[in-house]
Amino acid sequence: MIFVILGILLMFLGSSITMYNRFKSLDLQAEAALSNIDVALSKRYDTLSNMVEVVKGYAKHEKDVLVSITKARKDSLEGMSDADERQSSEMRQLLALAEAYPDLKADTNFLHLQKVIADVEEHLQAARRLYNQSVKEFNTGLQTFPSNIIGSMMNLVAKPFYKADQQQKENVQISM
Amino acid sequence: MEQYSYLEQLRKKALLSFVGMIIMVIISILSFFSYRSLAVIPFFIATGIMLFVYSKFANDYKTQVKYQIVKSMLDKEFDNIEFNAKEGFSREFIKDTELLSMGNIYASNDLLSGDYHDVKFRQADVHIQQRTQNGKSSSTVTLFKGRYMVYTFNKHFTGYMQIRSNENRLFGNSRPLRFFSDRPETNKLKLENEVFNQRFNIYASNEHEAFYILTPHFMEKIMELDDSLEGNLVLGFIDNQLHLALYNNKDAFEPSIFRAIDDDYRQAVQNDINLIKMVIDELTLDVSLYK
Repeated sequence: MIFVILGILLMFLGSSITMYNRFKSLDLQAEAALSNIDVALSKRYDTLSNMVEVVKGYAKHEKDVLVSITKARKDSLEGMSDADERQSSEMRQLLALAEAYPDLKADTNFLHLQKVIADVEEHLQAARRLYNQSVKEFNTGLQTFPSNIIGSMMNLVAKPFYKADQQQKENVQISM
Repeated sequence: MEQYSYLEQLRKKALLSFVGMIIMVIISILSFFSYRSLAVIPFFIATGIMLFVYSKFANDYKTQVKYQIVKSMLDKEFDNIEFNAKEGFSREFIKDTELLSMGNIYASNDLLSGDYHDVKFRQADVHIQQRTQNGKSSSTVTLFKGRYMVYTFNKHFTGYMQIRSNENRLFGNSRPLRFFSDRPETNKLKLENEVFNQRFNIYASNEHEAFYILTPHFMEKIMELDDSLEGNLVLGFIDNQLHLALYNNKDAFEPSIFRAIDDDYRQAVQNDINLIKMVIDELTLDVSLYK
């Protein structure tokens, strides 16, 4: 009888440790993804700023319409999401502006920056998706039995998803 | 036309030697059961010689067909083609990818390299078997028989990832065991596409890179490619290259000595060529937006 109880206790302990580790690893994965979003936003900011400089050389008479790029904010998830959304909108404006200048579209520097920004967009999208996937698994664990017991013992709370508007979800299309 | 008659001569030689070999085998077996003495030894020696002659003639014919027919078809489709019917990927190269279970018998031939839409590729047939000795009897199990292809990939990555189709797991598409591996440790990964998760097992050393490579669009393309291929598919993303192993139990570009070169053979070769192109086209490896 004692062995049966001991066996059940060991099983309970083993599965509790597995669930605890799973929560921890999902938490770390979400943090890492968030940090990757931040890195990608900063890189996008730098690249877009460089693009603005190149565009200025061609669109001299449109200085007033040239966009100013929003800097990435790491203070909160909403701050990052907000900056992300603004940057996406500014990037679309910038690319639309570039369409009016055939010489600019052929500029090697501009072409290179377009390649960089296309790659940054891919990284940004990957980081957003990884974050949301980690959050989805984390939150599902908190809401389903028996992992919700371990979750409440660890005082874990559901994480917010990274919100992206529809245009962001579809990714900004860069054509060359 | 002269080329065809030369190949046809070679084929007939191979076919004759095959018939001779079969006759010698029958004579040897009959004489063994009739005489049951050392007098049958010359028959067995003659059978061995015929087997050697047949394999030489058959190889000569197949090699010539590959260099004269297949090579010219490849030249029409690809740039910078290099084709060696007798060489293949080395055992060490395949083992190092950790995509396939390595048995104790390994063979590879038809090594081909070239460019298609500026995408560099290499491919070869690979055949891996495991022979086990059990007392007096031995058994041989095929672990992999099919095409192995390597393409330059259009995104830069540093990690290691493998994607294995989930079907027919009983027939050897399980992940090879890792002993003393130089590759980084991988974790099983789930993506947001549930259908993809059900159809494939994904092991990646870097989660972010896995999501970077496997965009929703790319996952759809992999599923479409898997649908259009016969056989078990394993994909590896290694050292900025895409490795694709297709276990389809087929030998690409292989002519038969029992049939002259005809339109059916040409079509079969064209299908083998189309597979190389299809991977590049379907997975849009020629889009150089990110590198």
